[in-house]
Amino acid sequence: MHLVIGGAKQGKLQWVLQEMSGVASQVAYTCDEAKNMPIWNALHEEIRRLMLLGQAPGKAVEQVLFQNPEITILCDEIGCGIVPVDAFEREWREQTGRICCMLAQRAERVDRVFCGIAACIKPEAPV
Amino acid sequence: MLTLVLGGAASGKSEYAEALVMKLSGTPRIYLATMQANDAESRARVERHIALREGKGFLTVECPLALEHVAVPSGSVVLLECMSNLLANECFSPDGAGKLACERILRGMDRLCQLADNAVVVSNLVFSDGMIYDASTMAYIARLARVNAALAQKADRLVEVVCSIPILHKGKGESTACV
Repeated sequence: MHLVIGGAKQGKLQWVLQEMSGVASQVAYTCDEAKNMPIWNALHEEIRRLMLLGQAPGKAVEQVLFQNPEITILCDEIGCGIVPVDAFEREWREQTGRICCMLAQRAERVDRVFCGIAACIKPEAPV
Repeated sequence: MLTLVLGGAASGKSEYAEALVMKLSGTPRIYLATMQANDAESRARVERHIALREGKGFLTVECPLALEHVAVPSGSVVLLECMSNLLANECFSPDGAGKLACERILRGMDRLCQLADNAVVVSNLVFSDGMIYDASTMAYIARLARVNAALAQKADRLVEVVCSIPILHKGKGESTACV
């Protein structure tokens, strides 16, 4: 699994499509789609959607990894603001942050896209 | 030696800072706890952090205000968590320093660095949500930026933690990043 993070609208998807010679039709946006597609965009939005449905996002992400261990996952960094007054907003940031920590630990590689430029923050182990 | 550890919400900054403190010299191992747990959510947060520290030999010292007066044994290794809470308490508590919050905290940090063999300070990144808040929150954001920057100047090491991955911005140390 490859994790790509960065602020909103930083060019994560464009960079990934370029790197992987991918096309938009190969991009998943939900857990179900992600089980058999190479790229999963906007994980933070799917986490929010599942939370609103009362489902456990962590479990859903685990299922995707189990079925599709080679996937590239893109997620916005959403934790660098003032702690929101609204409890749901806080919980969304908390769950997204913890899931990204778990993904980063398990990823073969992690990149962070800043102004369209990717920096590798966890390189692949040498073979 | 001073290390400043920065990260957003749920970035893994505490786990990183605690693991770092375990590798640093100094006795005793002191945890300066800054959160005033007034509700169930804060208490749950405190409980989670207590569980993280369990078995690591930390002596917990409550420090919700007045860092300059807290008892820190000389030669100790100190983990202060979290600067954003300490600053919020100084800014908004009736007993806080109010407008002089930054000055009071930085005086306290000078003293802490003289006494401790090693100090690790965890602070928050709250600067990237593009929101305009009320005046007191905007002043708080500016003060936290000022404290973070002053500590970064003073620090031997500045580490940003992103999704549990440490990125070294200043000094020497372990960093998996190749930025």
